[in-house]
Amino acid sequence: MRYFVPRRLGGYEMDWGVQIQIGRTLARYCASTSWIACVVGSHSAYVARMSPQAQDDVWKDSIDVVISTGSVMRNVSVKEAKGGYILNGRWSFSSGVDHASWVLMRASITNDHRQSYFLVPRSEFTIEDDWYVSGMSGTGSKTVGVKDTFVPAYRVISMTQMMAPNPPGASVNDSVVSSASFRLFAGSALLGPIWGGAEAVLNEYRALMAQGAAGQDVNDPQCLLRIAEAAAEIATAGRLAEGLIDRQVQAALSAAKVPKSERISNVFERTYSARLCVNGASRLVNSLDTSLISSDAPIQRYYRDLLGMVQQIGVNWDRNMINGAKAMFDLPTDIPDLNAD
Amino acid sequence: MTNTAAQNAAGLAEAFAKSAATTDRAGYPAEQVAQLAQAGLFKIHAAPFSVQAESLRALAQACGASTWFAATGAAAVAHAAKANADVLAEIGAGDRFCTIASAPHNTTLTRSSAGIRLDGVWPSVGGLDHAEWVILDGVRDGDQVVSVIAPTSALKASEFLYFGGVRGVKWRKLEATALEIPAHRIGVKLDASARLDPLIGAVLGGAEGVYTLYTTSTKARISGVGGHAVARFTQVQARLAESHADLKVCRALYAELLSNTDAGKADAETQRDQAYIVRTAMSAANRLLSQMGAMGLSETNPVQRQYRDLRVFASAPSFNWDASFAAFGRAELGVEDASRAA
Repeated sequence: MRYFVPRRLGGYEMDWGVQIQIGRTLARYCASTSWIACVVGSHSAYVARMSPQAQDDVWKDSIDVVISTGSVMRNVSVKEAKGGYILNGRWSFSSGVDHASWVLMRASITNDHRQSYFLVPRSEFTIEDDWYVSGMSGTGSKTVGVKDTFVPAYRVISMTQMMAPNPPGASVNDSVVSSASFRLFAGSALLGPIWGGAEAVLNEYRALMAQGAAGQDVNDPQCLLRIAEAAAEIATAGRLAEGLIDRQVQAALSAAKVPKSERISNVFERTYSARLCVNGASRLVNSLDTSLISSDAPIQRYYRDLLGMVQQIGVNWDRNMINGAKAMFDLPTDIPDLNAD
Repeated sequence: MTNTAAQNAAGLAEAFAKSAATTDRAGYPAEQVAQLAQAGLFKIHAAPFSVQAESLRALAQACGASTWFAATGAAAVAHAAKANADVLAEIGAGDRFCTIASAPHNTTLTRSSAGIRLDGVWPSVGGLDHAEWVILDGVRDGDQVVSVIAPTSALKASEFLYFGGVRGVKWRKLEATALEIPAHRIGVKLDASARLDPLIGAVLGGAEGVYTLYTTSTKARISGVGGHAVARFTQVQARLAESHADLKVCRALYAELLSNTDAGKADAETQRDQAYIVRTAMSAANRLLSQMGAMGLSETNPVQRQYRDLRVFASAPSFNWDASFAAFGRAELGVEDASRAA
């Protein structure tokens, strides 16, 4: 949770990408742990870009706080009030919220597509026990809600300001993650858990082959081809992810404008990397027979978790591919980073 | 009588569909097991292949657990009938449910004067709450593998954490410790190698169920991000069509498979088609579930339940892709043995 907490407060203020490698490693054993550590852990970078006063609120007592997000809105409304806003509504899929001290809730002040983040403390939101899912059940990605909650203006930041270079937090924090365009890093934190999750399936399948599980034989060319193909797909997915993250970091360090064609490519590669992970893992799991499918074999959980992770909108195939293709023709898209020249 | 059983399966399906969510969560009720028995669905092994498959297809469109009980109960009776009349009578000859335990972790068999003494662990066995008898398959007897029939009360069943499909059957780990089995309850191993399997009806019916539930749900669905009517998304419409086309192909191949099998044709091409139906049906279902986004993960989503049940049926050893396709290739090439040289 300290990845991007400012060094001045005792945090690590790390470079982007380290948390993704940690996420990859953890996901080889537990995807939910990886998700909380890598994806939820990256939320400290959002807060580090907010006003210094908001940062002090979040980290004044501890720098080991969990910060969840609420992005999928249900009946959300915002009213202006003296010194801030009154927030109402519910947000689905708030990963790690059972342990969260704060939630960054998305809402529109102007009641349109322009959104802002509202930073809300634990005492102000409720949690609905509604996370009963086939995969990633350990993340506890439940629905959160607020009712007539006052959020002071300093704990609100527009999405535009959050994503632009030199947001309010950059005035007190030195790191590139706090000062560069945040859109550069979009979506890549998802790839650590997804890549590691696919590797977990691959590792477990290899163990099943070595054990001589039903239908999986180390002497059968078909089984050997299958594991080779899956290993190649997953390794390729990893290379794509690493290349993408490296380019993101280099772009942030150089502060150079990233051409639109490259931003489009980044969206495609991120999404395709996740797709390759699923393809590789599915190839293996689809060959297992009932004795494993109807058991508590660990490969079951690894695979269900992987399928759960790739439902995240940041790697959603249709959304990203269609919007990326629209951007190729300069059509308006649902991905703000692709709308700019 | 068996044709009546197939019609009965279709008749039961509507009610079973309504209770599917409850039985998945709380366990399969004894009344429904009795209904399956009364409908003759544990006795369909003597019916033509098409009747067996169509019975399972009708049930699978509605409820995975019902399908599993019918398929397993019928397979157990079929196996007992091959063993001997005493065993068949003991397990109730299809008037009661008998379950099957397969793929043991390990078994130890010791000969005794009365028969055998057996130790072993079967990691995942369903239907034990409703079965007086269990066929324990995969028992190693020297160089051979046999099956034995034992009263469930003589075995230790323990629960394990399970999140896969067909939950209503309550999968449990089953252990035999120094279990005495008389000689007449020892038989040949169940034939689980690649072969034509009426469970193909369950796969098609399960995928059809996914399609129906997905379509119903999508008509009313509003996207979580943006609040749009999901049915208006072009890619959703196209994906639905792709899955519909997949299922149409499945149905055509399935009809031919039933016809061939009833006519006694059980060649490599039919076996290959069977595996192809399974893969194509799974492809249709996978596509639809993936299209649901995070909503598709929800345990209470009927599409998710139907999909995870389908996965269990599709993973039957008889649908093994490798074996089925290599067998066809061997037949085409005139190669008799299953050499594995690369």
